[in-house]
Amino acid sequence: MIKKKVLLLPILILVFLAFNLLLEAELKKVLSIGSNQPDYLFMTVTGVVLDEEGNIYVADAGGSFIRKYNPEGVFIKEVGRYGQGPGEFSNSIGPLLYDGQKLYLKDDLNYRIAVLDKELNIENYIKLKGLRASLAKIDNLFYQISTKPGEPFPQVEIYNLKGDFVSSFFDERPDFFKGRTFSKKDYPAWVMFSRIVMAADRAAEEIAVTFTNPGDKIEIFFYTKEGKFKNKIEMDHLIKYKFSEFRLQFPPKYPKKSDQIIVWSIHYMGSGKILLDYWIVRYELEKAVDEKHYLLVVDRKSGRLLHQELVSNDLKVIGVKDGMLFGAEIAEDIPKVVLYKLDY
Amino acid sequence: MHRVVPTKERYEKRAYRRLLLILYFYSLLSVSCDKGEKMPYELLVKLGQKKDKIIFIIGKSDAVYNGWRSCEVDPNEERWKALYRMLSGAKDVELIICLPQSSKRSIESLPYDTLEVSKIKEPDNDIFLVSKDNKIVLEFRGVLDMSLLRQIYEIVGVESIS
Repeated sequence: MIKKKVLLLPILILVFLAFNLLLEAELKKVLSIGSNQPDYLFMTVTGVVLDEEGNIYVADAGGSFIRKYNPEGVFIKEVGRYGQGPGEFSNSIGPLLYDGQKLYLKDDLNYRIAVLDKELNIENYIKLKGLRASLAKIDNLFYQISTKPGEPFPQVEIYNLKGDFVSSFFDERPDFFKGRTFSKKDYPAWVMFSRIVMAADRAAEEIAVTFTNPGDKIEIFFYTKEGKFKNKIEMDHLIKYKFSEFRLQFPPKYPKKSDQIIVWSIHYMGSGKILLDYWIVRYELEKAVDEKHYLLVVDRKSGRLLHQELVSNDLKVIGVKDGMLFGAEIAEDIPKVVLYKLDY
Repeated sequence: MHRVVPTKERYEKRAYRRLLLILYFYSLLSVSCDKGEKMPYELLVKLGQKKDKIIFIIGKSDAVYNGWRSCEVDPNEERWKALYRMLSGAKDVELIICLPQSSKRSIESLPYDTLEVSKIKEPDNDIFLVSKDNKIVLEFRGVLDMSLLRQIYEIVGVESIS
């Protein structure tokens, strides 16, 4: 009996250490671009993508431009200026997509998607129907988030490459709204707490959707590229969290202390993993007094938490591809585009 | 002992001298404040945000105007910050100066290259004037985008930024 215990102990220690190592792996910064020089100066970075050669494309809403850098981060080209005409962008551009051939830059306030080649020549524009959030693409279909007409609930709309509406999907509700009756008086609160984020996996031809303000658990819903429901995974929060009732009242009545969980974005990492950009915000009265920013890596099939990492609040996660995380952060008061290796 | 009773005239003279003395010390104090004071960036930002109409001037470091170095207003905050960052590395460029509209003066008469922006908190209507060698070389109305930032950079700061 004692022998068994003695044998079991090192195994338990090893398992414990391995688990801790898994959770304590750190992001490794591989590239940082940004300085006060005009070619490297950024304002509000909203899009970062890499092509097969490792060239980096950056969209900046603040400066109304898109730039290309070589894999070492050396400036190659910039196009765009503020305006509504050809070659011009509004000050609300992004996200930026790359499908292996073309770049697609969503320009909200000009209601269009600019299609560019890898030399940043604008080839054509795709007209958008009104203001929509987010942008994803699989094959010949675009995906955008909108609110259902007359309802506070979001949906995902599918458009073809000409910008024509094809169909829409997503009928889920956050847990804390289930069993409640919607009243028009609380419309803004319902819109706010029904918000969703999405990600597309071109290889699996799949769309993942999750709520920005999850309730007691995080739920991720998966759909085919045509908008057909596939399955759902669930997971507990990093910290056990109970949705605060006060936030459902409008105008809100703030208790002295409360927490809010925000899933800011969702990304396919490849190899059956999904990354969540996850925030815990602590409020005292109506003021945010503490913010914690985590990256959560979850298993696509089981929803099991594979890794959690506390990262800088200055890091804005923009995209994930081939084990790399693209983001924007401010270091020494200078905005930078950063590339991290996701070595999980 | 004979005591001189101050007449009204003497009394006025003395008061006048005192007043001059106070004014002299006050001017000394204010000049030294202008020259020495480096107003924190964040404070200038706050000051800028309180005003509805702002003029920004960029000048050379030996011609600091009012001791102010920079300010910005919404909604172009990120862009002003970018301009500030872009020119902050310049050795002989003292950064953006912020004045209320009433203090507007001709930028062509200033002894350094300048950027003047008439700002009405509507980015589409901002008016930019850049002067070099006492001549206006850039006149622009609209949003301070990267293209305009590059032009300003080339006119005002390109030679001095390492």
